[in-house]
Amino acid sequence: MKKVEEKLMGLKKEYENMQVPDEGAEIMKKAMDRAKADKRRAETKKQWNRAVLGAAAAIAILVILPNTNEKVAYAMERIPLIGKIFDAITIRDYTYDDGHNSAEVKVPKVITEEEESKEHPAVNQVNKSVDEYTKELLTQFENNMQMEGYQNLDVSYEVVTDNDTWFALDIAAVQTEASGYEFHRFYNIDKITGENVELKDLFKEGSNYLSMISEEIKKQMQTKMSEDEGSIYWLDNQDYPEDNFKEIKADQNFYLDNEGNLVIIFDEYEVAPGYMGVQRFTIDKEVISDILK
Amino acid sequence: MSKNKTEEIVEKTFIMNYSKYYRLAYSYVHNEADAVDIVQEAAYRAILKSDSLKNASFADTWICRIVINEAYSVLRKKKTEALEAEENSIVQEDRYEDIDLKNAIENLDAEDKTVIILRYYEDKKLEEIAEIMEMNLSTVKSRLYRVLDKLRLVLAD
Repeated sequence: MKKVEEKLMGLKKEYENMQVPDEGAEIMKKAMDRAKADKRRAETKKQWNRAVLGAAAAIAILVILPNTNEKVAYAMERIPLIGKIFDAITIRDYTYDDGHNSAEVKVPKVITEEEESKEHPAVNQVNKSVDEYTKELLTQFENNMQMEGYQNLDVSYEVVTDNDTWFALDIAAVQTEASGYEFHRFYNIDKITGENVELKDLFKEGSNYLSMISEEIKKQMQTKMSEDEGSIYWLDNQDYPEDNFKEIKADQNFYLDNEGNLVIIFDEYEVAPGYMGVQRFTIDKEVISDILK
Repeated sequence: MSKNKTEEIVEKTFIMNYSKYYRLAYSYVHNEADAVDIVQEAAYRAILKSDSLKNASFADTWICRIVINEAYSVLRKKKTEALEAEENSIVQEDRYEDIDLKNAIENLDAEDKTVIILRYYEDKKLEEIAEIMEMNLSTVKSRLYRVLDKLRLVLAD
């Protein structure tokens, strides 16, 4: 007994005399600063998510009212939009800068070749929703102005798909305090049915599209990670299993690209560390052809 | 205890005990780059999750646990590389000390090694080791005796 323990005491001296690199302390401090920034950002993200949820609730109410009260009229207006030319134009451009707070918010409006008075309900619905959403982001920005420090809000839009059968609009928001947080909202109009489309509307009733898509995404994540060492997704981290990606949300952002493939979008920090940015995964239409409507 | 206060305590503890966490990390990976990485990753995680530290007087214990877990995770990721590095470093470092015992410790599995490092290099009490390794005291005790037996056996050969 003594012998081993005595020898261990000898090794302890060696352990204590180990050279410790000074630069490691600096690297460690920087890591802690990074953690602090990420933590603040996660807190900000929570606030923004609440704001966004609030906006979504407001939109739901607005949409439900005409739906229930004027059901018949609404149904009759559900005319296809096949081949119609869509476009998005900026109807409001909000810029603000006081040295501490700055914002650049472009609010789009979807227009079609139809006359203004005849605008399609699906298009109206998108416009109304975009309007509510951007107003809510601005309200959050204004609330933040009372706090110390710097902030910036950048809201822009892009028509990501416009072909004979599909129209998809992306509203991108970048909110910056200590560091940035980018998040998206996508709107889809099916020109064949003339309706706004949610993810569930794409698939047959009762199909397990959430898990099917999620499995395909996990496969793509694995491939990306094995091809590129710098790519990291929270997928199989044994130490922090609660962060791992399990399944897409029922209202996960998506759009159909020009070829009809499904593109799934994850905001920053949703499935990967912040430096990976916003993540897009294209699910080939062949992969989900069995469960597509 | 407020959230910011906990974060501050964690940060101060890291800065104060940097050398200790570095040595701890190094004794698993035996190379500077990985040891620095382990400490940095542990520091990042600890600040991020500082809210989960409920009692400030356990900050060091809590951080030791995070450093050791990071070391395990690095070992799992690069098992072979780490082994090669270990062999090299033993050759370089060994001048006065007992190479047989050192090799025997290197060949222990990670958790057995943790018990030895904490008990004999870090002078931790068994209660503290139990806290760090999230085991109960009797498990730590029997583990320690079993490891000492193992080492003794190797040395007797």
